[in-house]
Amino acid sequence: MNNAYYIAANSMMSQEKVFSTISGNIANINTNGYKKTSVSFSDLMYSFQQTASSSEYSIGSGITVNGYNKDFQYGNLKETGSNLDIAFEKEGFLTLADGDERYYTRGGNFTLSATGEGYFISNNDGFFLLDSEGNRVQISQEERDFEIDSNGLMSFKNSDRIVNLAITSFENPEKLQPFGNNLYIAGLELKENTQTADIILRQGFVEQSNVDIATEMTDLIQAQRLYQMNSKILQVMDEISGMANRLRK
Amino acid sequence: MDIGLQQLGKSLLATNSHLAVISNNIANSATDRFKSDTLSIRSFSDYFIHEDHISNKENLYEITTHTDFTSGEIYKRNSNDFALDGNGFIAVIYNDNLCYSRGGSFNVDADGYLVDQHGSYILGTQGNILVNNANVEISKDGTVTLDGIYADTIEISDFEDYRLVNKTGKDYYVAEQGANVLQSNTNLLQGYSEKSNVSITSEYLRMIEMSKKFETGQAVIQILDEINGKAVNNIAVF
Repeated sequence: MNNAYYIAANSMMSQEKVFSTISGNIANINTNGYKKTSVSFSDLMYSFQQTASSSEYSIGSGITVNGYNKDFQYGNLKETGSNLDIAFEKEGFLTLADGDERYYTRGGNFTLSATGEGYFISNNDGFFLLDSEGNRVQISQEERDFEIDSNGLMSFKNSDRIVNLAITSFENPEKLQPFGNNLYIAGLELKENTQTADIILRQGFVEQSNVDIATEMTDLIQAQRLYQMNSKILQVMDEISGMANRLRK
Repeated sequence: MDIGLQQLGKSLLATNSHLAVISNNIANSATDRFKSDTLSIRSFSDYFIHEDHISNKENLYEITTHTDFTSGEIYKRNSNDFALDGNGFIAVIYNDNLCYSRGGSFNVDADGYLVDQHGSYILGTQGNILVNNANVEISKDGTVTLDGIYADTIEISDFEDYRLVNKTGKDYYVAEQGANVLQSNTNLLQGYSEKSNVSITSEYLRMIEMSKKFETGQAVIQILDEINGKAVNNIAVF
């Protein structure tokens, strides 16, 4: 009988999705490299109702989630001094490998992991950092002292070896799919930026989260109010149905 | 007496439709680019005088919805978002149909075409816009340049009569036959998005008004019912 019930209920469920994205953002406000997630909506289809005369009128049927977007706005850089911390000032992603799977990351804290073949640079989950040829970056005992320049070129103090880190930048980074732990996997329609991009790598820095607590709080309040309004509609519709039921005493 | 009951019944149903429109507006009050709807009801007698025909007696209410096309507030958002700063629409191809949109976000699909947030092709004056890997720049008047070379222009159009423009969901609009398309000088702003133009306060007020209207209507129905009961049980006692 009634659209308004379903529209209000559907809108409340949509606002719950806003709550969960906001709480995800706030939980990660101190996570290095975290990118803010936002959820966008659009209206659902409209149904045309014919009245007895020729005129018709249309009533919408609520709201739907358009998609979740990552906001790749750059975070502030924080100096750590560790030569295994890598961050990008502007564009850029490093490539990590876990077996045959490839992951992209904006940088972060790396460590040396010991394997049977020696020491390799990896992240905290044991995903290995790749160089531009797709090989893992091996660091021998003497090569512990190294520098990475702003283009991703690694040079070692005690050897002549030079390693070029794999750095990619994307034209549409919002098509990357979040994998967790600040890692992303390539999504459909992801396009690499083939032009010389604005890449400035910084060794000894980490990128801070780009979540702004004030924006999150105002968004939260807005979503909460909207939730409240919709629950009010449910209440009114409930009263109205009650009245309709009591029409005949 | 019968007419009274019928009229009231229809009025209650119309109130229900009204609440559905209000709740759709409130549900979408945080949806970017959403335009609010209003339901208007003309009573039978207005209609009667206005249209000057009598055959339509059972049509006690004339319901129409219309969309308020006032622009929403423009605010800064992601760099691939875009909004129209004033009246106007851009044309897109959604599921092979020509639709009009108030903005959204630019994307490039797997075949290298410029698309919007729902994957619909954005139309230039020469049809779909192929951008491939080029560096795309879109200026305020809709001019698309690829690596600095002019490629196409995103046409910004407007309608003479908004009553012929209907919503289809997904923030798209379709034009009815006979809708007159005009050129528009509205600017296309990249990096901005448009908020919905729903005024929560007026929707809330209207919701209260409608629920009270329903209450009154049902009270009057009960009175009419009592009167009917009296007529049957008291007057017609032999």
